[in-house]
Amino acid sequence: MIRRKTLILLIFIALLLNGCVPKQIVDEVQLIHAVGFDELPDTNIKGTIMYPIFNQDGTIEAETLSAVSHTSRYIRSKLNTKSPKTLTTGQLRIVLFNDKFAKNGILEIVNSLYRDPNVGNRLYMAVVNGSTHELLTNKLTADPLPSMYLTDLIEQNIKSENLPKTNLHVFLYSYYGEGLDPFLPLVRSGNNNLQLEGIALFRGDKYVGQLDHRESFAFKVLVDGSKTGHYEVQLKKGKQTGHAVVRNIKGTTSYKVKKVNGVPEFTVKMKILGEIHEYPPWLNLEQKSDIDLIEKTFTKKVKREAETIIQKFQKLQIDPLGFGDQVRRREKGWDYKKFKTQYPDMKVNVSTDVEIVESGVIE
Amino acid sequence: MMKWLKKNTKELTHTVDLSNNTYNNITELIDNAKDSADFIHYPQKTAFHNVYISYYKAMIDGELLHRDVLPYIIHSKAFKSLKDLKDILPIESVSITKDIKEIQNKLLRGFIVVQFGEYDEECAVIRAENSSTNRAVSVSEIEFSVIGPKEAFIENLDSNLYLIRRRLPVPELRFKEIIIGKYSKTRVIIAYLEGIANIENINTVSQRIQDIESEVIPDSSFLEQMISDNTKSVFPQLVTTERPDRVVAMLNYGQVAILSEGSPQALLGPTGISEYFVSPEDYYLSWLLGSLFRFIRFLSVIFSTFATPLYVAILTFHYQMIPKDLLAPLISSRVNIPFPPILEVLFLELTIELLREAGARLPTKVGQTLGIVGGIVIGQASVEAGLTSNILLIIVSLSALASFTTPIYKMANTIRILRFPFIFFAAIWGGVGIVIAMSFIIVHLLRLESLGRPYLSPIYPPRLLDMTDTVIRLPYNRILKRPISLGTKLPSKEMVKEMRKKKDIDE
Repeated sequence: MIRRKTLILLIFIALLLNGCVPKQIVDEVQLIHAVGFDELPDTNIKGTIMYPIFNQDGTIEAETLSAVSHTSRYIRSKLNTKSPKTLTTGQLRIVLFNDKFAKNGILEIVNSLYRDPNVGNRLYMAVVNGSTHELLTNKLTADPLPSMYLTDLIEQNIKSENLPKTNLHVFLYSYYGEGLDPFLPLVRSGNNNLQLEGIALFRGDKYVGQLDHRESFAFKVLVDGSKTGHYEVQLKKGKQTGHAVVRNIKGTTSYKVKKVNGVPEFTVKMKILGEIHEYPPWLNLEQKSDIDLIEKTFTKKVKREAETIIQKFQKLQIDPLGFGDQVRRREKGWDYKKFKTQYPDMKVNVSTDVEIVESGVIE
Repeated sequence: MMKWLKKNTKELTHTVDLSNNTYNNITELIDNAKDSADFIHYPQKTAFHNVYISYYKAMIDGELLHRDVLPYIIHSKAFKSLKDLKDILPIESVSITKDIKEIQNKLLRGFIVVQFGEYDEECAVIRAENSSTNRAVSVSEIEFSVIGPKEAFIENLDSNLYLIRRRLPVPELRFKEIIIGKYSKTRVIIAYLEGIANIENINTVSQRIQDIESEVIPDSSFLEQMISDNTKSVFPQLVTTERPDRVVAMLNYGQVAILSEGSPQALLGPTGISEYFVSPEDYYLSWLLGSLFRFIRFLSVIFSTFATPLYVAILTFHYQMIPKDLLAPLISSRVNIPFPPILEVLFLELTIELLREAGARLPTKVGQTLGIVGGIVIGQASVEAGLTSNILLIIVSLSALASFTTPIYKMANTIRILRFPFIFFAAIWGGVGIVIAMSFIIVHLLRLESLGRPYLSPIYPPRLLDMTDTVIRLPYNRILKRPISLGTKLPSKEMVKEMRKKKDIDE
């Protein structure tokens, strides 16, 4: 009898608690796909959201709403006053920052993003050269949804081109990790299309500099090793000049730290296995000397590129490659503040080793 | 107040206890029997005497009476006393008795009674059962298999016993008979292999069957429910099969089979849950194919139970986890639907259940038409009318299809209703609800026993050697002859090694 009473009680509780979980039926909420933040005077933020409208015949339309406020969350509240269905962040795919906005710091927004359990850690973020509002309201040719266009664009470039892996998780890791600075992809919108310009570099949460597509190649190998990317080099042999394109098959980097008078000194070894994709007609790939020529030029170029970007980082006092992190891993009682003062004048020796392993059939 | 909740303790008095309804003497017996139209009782002149012959017309074989009984009784010069019938009749089962109880039982089971006086106490009872109304042994329909034997049990117990003994012609095969049922006096046979089946299992089964107090046993399914360890469970605890080959294989494994008169189905126990997803075909195909099909069957059970609850949970609570490419088809198919996912799912699931019920109650040919009308027309129409989304239609019909893959019909039914609690829990608490429901089911399964042995074995308690024949089936030289979890003897290490050795002819 007692058991039956508890059972009835349990069922009752189950029915009562039913109301405690908020229902969010997928077609009765407005799924925000992309958010863009633009700079306005008076520390105001202009937030633009983009959400898809799914029609019954399978077609999709992109709708945008925008509002102005001081905080990202209140923008959403203001946007809700314009929307027939509740705006939700559970399907948020990409967050865009206007470059001027990013220069003032994006932590406030990133912070509210990662504390929202509806937002996944694999969310993409990007810095836009120009207005995000324009980008999101633009009618694009490749995909009706700018959000899908952008996420696919970034994903595709991570998989097969010069963009290193980036998402909310990576950003947070390098933001909060000692001896590391975050970076994000840099996007520009043109006529009816979008373009990945390169990489936006951050000091803390502030956008301070950029790398172009060409520099990204060396950057990707330096950051985490890479199995993708293309690089173009100019070749000279006697009077003949031309260009060759090498695809990276496997690029790895090893960091060695030596301490000289308490100051760390780095030896960075890049090893790249490449495949020749295109070459000037006067080269004969059956001759070893010609392949050696490509390897040599390529090695020199990549080395110079790597040195240039590292110098650029030192000058900007940012550390997206994680030199500080490398030292921290090897040292007990590491002092981040002390390292920061040593960083701009730290000696970094770069050595590259390029090996052409394929010259025949290409993809 | 709340009187209806209290148990009604009033004894029902209008039933008459017929269990000990033996008449006191032969006069009473015959006079009462005469009230039935099919009872024949008449005097017959023979060479020396007048005898009274009585029988139930429907119960005896008329041809046998005319050919093998009456000519001898009437014309034989050797027929002087009842005892002589034993010698003159070409029938082995003739007995002389005064025991009123025996006479009554045999009379009702198709024996002919011969007396000298109309109410003479001493009777000769001659066996003349009618067996011409038995169905012939036919092809198994419930547990159909493409290859392998096709014979199935029929309603006649003796021919079922024949089907078993023909496959196991050894004296160790024992048939223990118990008669139960106050009115039906049903013969129940407990079959086992002496020395292989664990004695505990045999004792459990026979004790439970003997304890049954029932008036009529129409089918072995009654027995199954009455001797089950947990009668409140939705899970069947004994395998119901109509295939003699399955019974024989399981007897050899050390299980106990229960057959009852008038039932074309045998019960097998003790069982583990994995046995309900085993088809005899798994053993007739090569082990790779057999394992693959069995694995598919397990997957389909999981799919069938969780597909629609997950649909409900994800669409009502967890829209975050929908992949971006699936979002468009999911939402655009649901845009015009006025119901929340739970009602949408219940509507379609109930439609399918209706179709299944209606199809099962109708003759085969009508059933087919119904399936087409229901499946295609209603499905298509309800999508076009905007009552359900077409994605859900696919999910529901797939999960219905998947639930048909379970070979044991009773388990298939369990799988069929198991998803409903999951759907409700998913609608109340989403994914957490599914986990809660799953926990209830797992706890229930862990506590469930089949004839006193754990239902989840060999998964829990783990018996690694037995797992060679659960989700996957290894080749025969890797499978133990008998599962340990049935209480058979544990094989020695040497035996296992020997089993796995490759045996060549030129050894």
